[in-house]
Amino acid sequence: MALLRAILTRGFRPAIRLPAVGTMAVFHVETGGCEGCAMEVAALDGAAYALPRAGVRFVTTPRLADVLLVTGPLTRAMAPVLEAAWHGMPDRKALVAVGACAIDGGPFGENYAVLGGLEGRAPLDASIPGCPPSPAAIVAGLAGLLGASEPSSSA
Amino acid sequence: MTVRADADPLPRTAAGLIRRGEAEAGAWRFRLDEDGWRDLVEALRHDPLPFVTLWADGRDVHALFLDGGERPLVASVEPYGGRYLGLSPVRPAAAPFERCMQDLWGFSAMDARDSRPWLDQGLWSATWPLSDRPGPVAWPPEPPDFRPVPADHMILGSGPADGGHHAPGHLRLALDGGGAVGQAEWRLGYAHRGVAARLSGLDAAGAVRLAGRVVAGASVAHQSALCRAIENATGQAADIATTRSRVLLAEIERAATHLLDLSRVARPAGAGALAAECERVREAILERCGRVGGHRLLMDCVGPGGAGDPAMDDAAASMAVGVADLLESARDRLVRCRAWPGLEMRVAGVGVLEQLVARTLGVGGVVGRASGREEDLRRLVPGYRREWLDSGVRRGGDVAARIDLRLAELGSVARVLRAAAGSAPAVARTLPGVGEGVGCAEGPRGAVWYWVRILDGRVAAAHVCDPALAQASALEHVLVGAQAEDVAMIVRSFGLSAAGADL
Repeated sequence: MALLRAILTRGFRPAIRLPAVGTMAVFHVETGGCEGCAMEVAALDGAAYALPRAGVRFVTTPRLADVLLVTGPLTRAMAPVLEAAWHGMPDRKALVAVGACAIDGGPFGENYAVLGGLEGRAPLDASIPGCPPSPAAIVAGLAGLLGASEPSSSA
Repeated sequence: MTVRADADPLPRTAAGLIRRGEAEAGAWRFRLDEDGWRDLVEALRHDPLPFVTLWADGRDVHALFLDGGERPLVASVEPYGGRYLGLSPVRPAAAPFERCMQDLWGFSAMDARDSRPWLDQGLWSATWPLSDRPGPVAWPPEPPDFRPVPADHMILGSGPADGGHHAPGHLRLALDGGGAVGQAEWRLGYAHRGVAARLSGLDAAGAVRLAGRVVAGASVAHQSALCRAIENATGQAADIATTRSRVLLAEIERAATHLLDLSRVARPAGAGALAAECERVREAILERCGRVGGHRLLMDCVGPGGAGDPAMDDAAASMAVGVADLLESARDRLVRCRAWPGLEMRVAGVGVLEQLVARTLGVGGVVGRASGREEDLRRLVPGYRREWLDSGVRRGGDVAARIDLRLAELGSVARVLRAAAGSAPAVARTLPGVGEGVGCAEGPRGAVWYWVRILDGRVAAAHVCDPALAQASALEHVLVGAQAEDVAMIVRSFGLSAAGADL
């Protein structure tokens, strides 16, 4: 953890070798935005950042996930999908909103097709602001989550 | 078709028929009556006039064509009792637009090829939300109305939440016993945010800010297309520096998005080295954009109006040099990664989009050019020179052709960046503003079109057309016959973004 923080404060470089910080399985749901935040999350998953090597794995089913990572404003059509993903996750799970849209709707507030952000609708364990947040900011937000859950995960 | 005795002899061409209508916005939008519209639909059966997009503004239905392949020409008709004669029997590319209009405004297309809902899954707060009289919603929503599946086929659905880092969409495949796709169908609408409705009421700067957040991979294209539409409506032309920086930013975005799409197709194709190389180069470009231009995805970098922002023009020039250097130094490694023989076996002949299908369904951009279509709107965009557009087309129409064309266009981007930085661009001719405008841009994935009506400095009505809608329809054809394990790779090779299809 301390090592990860040290790297972050030194300035995040692409293709950096992150130290192992324990494991975190993340299920990512894009709930209907412009895909910008999703592209920055994808960058973390790719070779430039290689976050999976640092222990943060992206999984393709909520049943294996510890963290539900949400990008984009919550559209009315995606609300049941997101709810199903949340209930499909095993207990001791966390909800993370990445980007302005997922937090409060950003430029896509409530209308006939959109509910808005998650803030006020669901208890968020972390929210990472930005439009979109940089990969470094997303890593910092996820690292904060690991730090917060460290005592309980070691128990 | 009957020729009325008292009328002029019927013009032979569809464009001539449109021009017989009443001019409403300059000499490019004409109002037709119901008979005129019917004659137009009849004429389109034989006339190859290219169709671009179809939309409504609450009162009228508008269809945009490209006369002679370069001059925007709009035909408008007022639906009678909420019904108008559909274009999809003569222009299959119009089918998804007709379905969107039915969902948003309740205008139904007569004789349409397909009248099922496209965007509305029954979960909105109203039916026909943009019409004068939105209707109530039935609860529970009706189950989706999928096309019947061939007998003895197994259904395999994926999405909208599959853990992938992309906009939500549901793809429903019918597989035969051997694992080949017998039928493919999308269910979209999950990412519909009501962009057209949100644009209404915004001032020019606010509208362009929103346009930058419609599709992140084509942010510059959407911003520039809307700027050009607004400038067309208000009779203002961008100055030389602004014209040049729009070209530079658009090419930088093309490089970044091509690299993203290449890495997305290389992963499922098993070409990890190519994917990794693309991801590294893209990250270097984005990092530079964030550092120099202030935004990694180039949002809020393009502004409307005559005189631009000199600081942004300098930043664009500085970014352009850096990106051209990066692309040139990466070229050899990308070519080596592409030459890996296993990749060729995996992608050659897979996911073929025939040229005829591409033309019928209006697929342009990289995908259209990889199927032999000479479609590149950059020839219409001010600031470009035709001799810069040298990456050509590919005839194969398969995944390999789309990969190769993207790599070739990366090289072309570097050359355009060098050439545009060192030359004085041609500036668009100024037309008198008539309160309505059309603007376009060749985005990384294809043509982006905007139409706006401006009243008192604010957007009164707008339409956005992203290439993703046509790509989604084309994929339903391309996937038939493919092996189930190739589906992800074929879909990624289109660079499809549901964010652009749903809007």
